[in-house]
Amino acid sequence: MSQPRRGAEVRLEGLVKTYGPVRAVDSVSLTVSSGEFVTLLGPSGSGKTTTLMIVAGFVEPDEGAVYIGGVQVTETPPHRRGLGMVFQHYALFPHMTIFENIAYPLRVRHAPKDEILQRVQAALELVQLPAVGARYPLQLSGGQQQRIAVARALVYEPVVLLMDEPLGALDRKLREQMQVELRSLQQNLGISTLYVTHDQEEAMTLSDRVVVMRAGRIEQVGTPEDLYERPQNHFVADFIGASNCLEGELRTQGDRLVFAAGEGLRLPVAPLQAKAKHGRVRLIIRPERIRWAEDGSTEVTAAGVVVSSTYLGERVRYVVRLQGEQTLVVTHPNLESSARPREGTAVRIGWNYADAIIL
Amino acid sequence: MAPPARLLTHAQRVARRRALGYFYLVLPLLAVMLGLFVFPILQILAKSIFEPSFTLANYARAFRDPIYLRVLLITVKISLLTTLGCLALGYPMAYLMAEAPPRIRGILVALVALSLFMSLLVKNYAWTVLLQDTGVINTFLLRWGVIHKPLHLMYNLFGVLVGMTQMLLPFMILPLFSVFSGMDRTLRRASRSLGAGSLRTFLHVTLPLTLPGVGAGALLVFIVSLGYFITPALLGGSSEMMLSNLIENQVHQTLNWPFASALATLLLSFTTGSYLVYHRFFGSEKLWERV
Repeated sequence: MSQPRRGAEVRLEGLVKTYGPVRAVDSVSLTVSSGEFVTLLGPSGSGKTTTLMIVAGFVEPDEGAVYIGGVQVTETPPHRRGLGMVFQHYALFPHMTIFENIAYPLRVRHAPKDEILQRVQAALELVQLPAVGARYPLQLSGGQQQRIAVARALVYEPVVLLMDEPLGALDRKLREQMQVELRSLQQNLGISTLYVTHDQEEAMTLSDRVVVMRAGRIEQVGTPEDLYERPQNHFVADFIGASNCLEGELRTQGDRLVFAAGEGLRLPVAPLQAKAKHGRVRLIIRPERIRWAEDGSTEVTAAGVVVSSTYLGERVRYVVRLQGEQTLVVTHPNLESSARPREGTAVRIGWNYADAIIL
Repeated sequence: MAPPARLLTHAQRVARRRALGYFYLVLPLLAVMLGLFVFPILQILAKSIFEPSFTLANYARAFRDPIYLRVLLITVKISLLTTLGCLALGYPMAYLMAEAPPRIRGILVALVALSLFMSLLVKNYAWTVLLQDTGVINTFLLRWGVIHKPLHLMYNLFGVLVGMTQMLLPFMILPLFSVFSGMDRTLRRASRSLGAGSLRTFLHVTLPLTLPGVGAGALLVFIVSLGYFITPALLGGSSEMMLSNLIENQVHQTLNWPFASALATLLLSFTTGSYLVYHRFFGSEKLWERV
């Protein structure tokens, strides 16, 4: 069998997996293009790991099919799928040295001895740990073990790389550093990658496209920018980044469309945004898009009172109470020049039509 | 030498007082062990070499007379075979227990523990009921016409092995079970994802990682087997006499206490020796477990 080279396309068609009454994966269809980095993002229980395990071949779907490089592999056992996989806790074999760990997939494939030597060394250099071959996994730090796990998954040049929360066990600093390394490694090799995480920042940093999942279903697929700027529902808006969400209804006031919430809060919205929606809606706005609007320079303005002001270093976070007891979170970069309103100050805040999302 | 009390800091004095407190807690146990275990063993040792003056005649006899050497060999042979039997039956069972869903695992663990709690005597007589010439197995086989005269299933090596394997199986299963349950399952998945089939995964990942459990279980079964008494006495014939049976024979039949003491000392040193050998070979296996 001639296997496709790196960067095979992965296609999932209508995957369903139920555990008792729970639909862990519910009609999941998705295509990872050749060389693309796609992340499955969702809270625990959203079905992201189960989906990954179906692709790996460890979980058999009740319905649907998996294609790798155009070949149906739904019934193929995991060891014949030719995938590289990195696990959350690295899953390095503790009884083998680092060299033996990385050589394992090559030995399984009966590679000649000198080729093994040369490829393992190349893999070690790829992850910038050329001198640890003789050590045992537990003699390495978490970050080093993670790199070895990546080296082991890449050494036999798999067509697809699967990663299950590979950075979950690392501390924040190291995680951010590894994200950068993983991304550049993936782009240099051009290997199609399916990645699972519950960390939205990680998903945004790494991915070409992000798949937001909830309760076994795909909520939205898009580039990080798509998801942040144009969430299709409240769940995505809430899960990706921080957002303010006001509940109210759309009304026509004269020739304008307004968002009305509670007692007397009326916020104009652009007619385009509202489309055909009328009645109960949510108005979603990102905290960093709300500005001080004493001079009336924004398309929408509202009066409010600063309830709290929290200093967070690189930015300051305010809570502003509007008419009708609705509150909005406002964040501003901590610029030297900006005067910071104190708690209890009456302020005018504002934003442009394009900053608000009506769902 | 410990420094005098007045030179100690407050913290050191507190630590010392606390250590002393723990010592008082184990004092009763220590007294019991010294009085009822260590002292008698020393007495046995003494009895084997002073008769009444110092002599090694009892040991010389044990090693010179081929009958006793044969008993020693039989003891080792039966212990080894029992260990192998327990390993063959216990390994898959421990694997199954570790893999079973929690509720079924609970039941399986309870069953294994239960077989440990049952009276040894009852278990041995139960085997007698099953295995003897007019026992359950032979009766059925005869009635169904599978055989025409009864199979000799006991008062021989077979009977002893069946009995001892069943009695000692929990000692193999429990340490293996603990190793299996402590093993990271994703290691097997990792092996599969790297291209290894189930057989290769078993041979290169599962088996090596469970070897410490195999070692611990085998040692336990082997050591307990060495001193086994009831099963060879009830299910074995004259050619399955083990060291313990020989010792009992010397104590009750021939009333040769000094020789019995020498045999007991040999058995004890043999057991200790097995443990040291295990420690030498399997103790180092822990190297990669915690570095």
